[in-house]
Amino acid sequence: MSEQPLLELRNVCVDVPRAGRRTPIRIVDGVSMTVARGESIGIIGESGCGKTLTALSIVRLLPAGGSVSGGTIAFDGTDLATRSEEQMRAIRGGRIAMIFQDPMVALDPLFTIGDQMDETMREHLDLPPAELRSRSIALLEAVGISDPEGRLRQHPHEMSGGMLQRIVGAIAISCNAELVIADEPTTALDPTLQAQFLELLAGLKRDRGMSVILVTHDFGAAARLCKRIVVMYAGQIVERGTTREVFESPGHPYARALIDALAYGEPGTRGRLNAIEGQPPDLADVPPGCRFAPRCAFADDRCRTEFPPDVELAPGHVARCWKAGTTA
Amino acid sequence: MSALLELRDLRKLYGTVRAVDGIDLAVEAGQTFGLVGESGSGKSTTARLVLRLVEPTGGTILYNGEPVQALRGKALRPFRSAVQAVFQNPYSALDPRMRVRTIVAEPLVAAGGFSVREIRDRVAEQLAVVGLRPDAGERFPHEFSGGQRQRIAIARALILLPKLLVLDEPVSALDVSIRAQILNLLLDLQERFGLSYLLISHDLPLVARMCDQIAVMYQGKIVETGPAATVARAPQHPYAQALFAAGMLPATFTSLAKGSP
Repeated sequence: MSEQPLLELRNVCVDVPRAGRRTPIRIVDGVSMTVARGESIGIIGESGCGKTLTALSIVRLLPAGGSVSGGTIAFDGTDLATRSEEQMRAIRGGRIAMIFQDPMVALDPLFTIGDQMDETMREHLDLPPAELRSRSIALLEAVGISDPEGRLRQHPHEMSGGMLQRIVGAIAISCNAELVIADEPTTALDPTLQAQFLELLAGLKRDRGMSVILVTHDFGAAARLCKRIVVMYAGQIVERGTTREVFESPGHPYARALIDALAYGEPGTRGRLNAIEGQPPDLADVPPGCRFAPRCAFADDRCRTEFPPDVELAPGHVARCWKAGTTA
Repeated sequence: MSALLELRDLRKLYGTVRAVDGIDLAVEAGQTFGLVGESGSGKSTTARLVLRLVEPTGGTILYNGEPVQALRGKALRPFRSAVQAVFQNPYSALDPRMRVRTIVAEPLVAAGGFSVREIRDRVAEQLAVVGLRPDAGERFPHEFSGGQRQRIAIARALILLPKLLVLDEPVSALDVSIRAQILNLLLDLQERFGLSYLLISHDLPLVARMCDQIAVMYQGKIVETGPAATVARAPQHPYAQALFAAGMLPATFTSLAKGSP
């Protein structure tokens, strides 16, 4: 691992306006994380926890009106806030590639796969036209697509979702990306295809030394691909550590509850499941103390009124909880 | 004892595509039958056939031992009341312009023969049954979270006091922490009202946990069926083996991360 991380987020805040409110809402609140070269890290959390906006803030693709209102995002030592929109366009799809849940976000139904791959590479690479085709074929082979020459002549509607997601993967690596941001890339795929696609990402990371940020609600997907994870709740990181540490000895009751919710238990038992009652707070009106306190079985008065500290349970394994490590 | 719902050699062709290709299954009263398979395996077409939303190309659907395909119009009504559905997406299943009380009352109004007062009382009762506050009826779907919307959809499905609910991916659009709440609600309702469920899902651990019987569908056919515990632990058919190997959740981190780089 080199000294300087490939990506470093420090105290990043993202504000997004909400209809009917004068002040915007802080959706991402003080997120810090680093990604080393060749490392994959998972951002785990549920709808509205801020994981996607954290990822989108890196490539400056926040929804209309959204802005990074605090903190710094450094990529390869450069503060991305100092980059012009034109420079960011060159970085997006070039050094930083993105894969989303729906492959059709990235693909245009009107053009063939070959045309779309050519276009991306022409924009980011200086290659003679003759080489574009052979590179496309090699890329499709690398992502496990059979008959790549035939596929290049096809349109997206002629292929299955799993195949399209592989093609998006091929486009993502076509310009030698150093960092791939994958936002729920397997959520829309069938179980057997999910495993295959994660294997594909793992292989690309291994063979090409890419870094990967996997944004997901799926602990299983993160465990397959990522050595380290951060768990987000209500806009903040509530736990960070190696995937194994968090899975085996979660320090935050929310992380514990998420893991318990995975455990459906023995087949055919039909007993009640471990549910977390209630729902995440409205970010326009967050509780003063711990944001998870209203749903937490362990919360006491201090949890409800005082903001919890980051407690280090082991080097690099941190939980933001007054009772970190004592509630498991 | 005869099954509540029985499908015999049920078939549905779309052009030359055999979406459902001669399946047999039986859902017993008070039990949960799980239908698993990947996209395009025919499980959702099976749901639509059971709900009589599409006409089968061949085979028989028996409800309480009686064939239901021939039923039309008024004769179909008791079946329509007895078999209701909850679908995956609580965002698209509820008309955004209607108040929740109107949405939940819709099946009663469509069935006819209920007074305004009866309708009001039964809507209030169903909202309570699914754990919503009494004032929920006056609000609109957009004011609710995904989990609460699914509760509204369940209240609507229950208002005609059905015997069988077809649950088509009922929690896959919901967050993990909300999922368990809805599944527990479904378990409670089953116990309280003796409901039968036909649960359609690609979430294998969920199906294994919730169901008495499982059938695995592949290319329109049932390739394996049996008690949930048996099928989930030791699938016999190669496709079922591949499906469960890819989808079953692990007990430990090591098995969770298996295949990791």
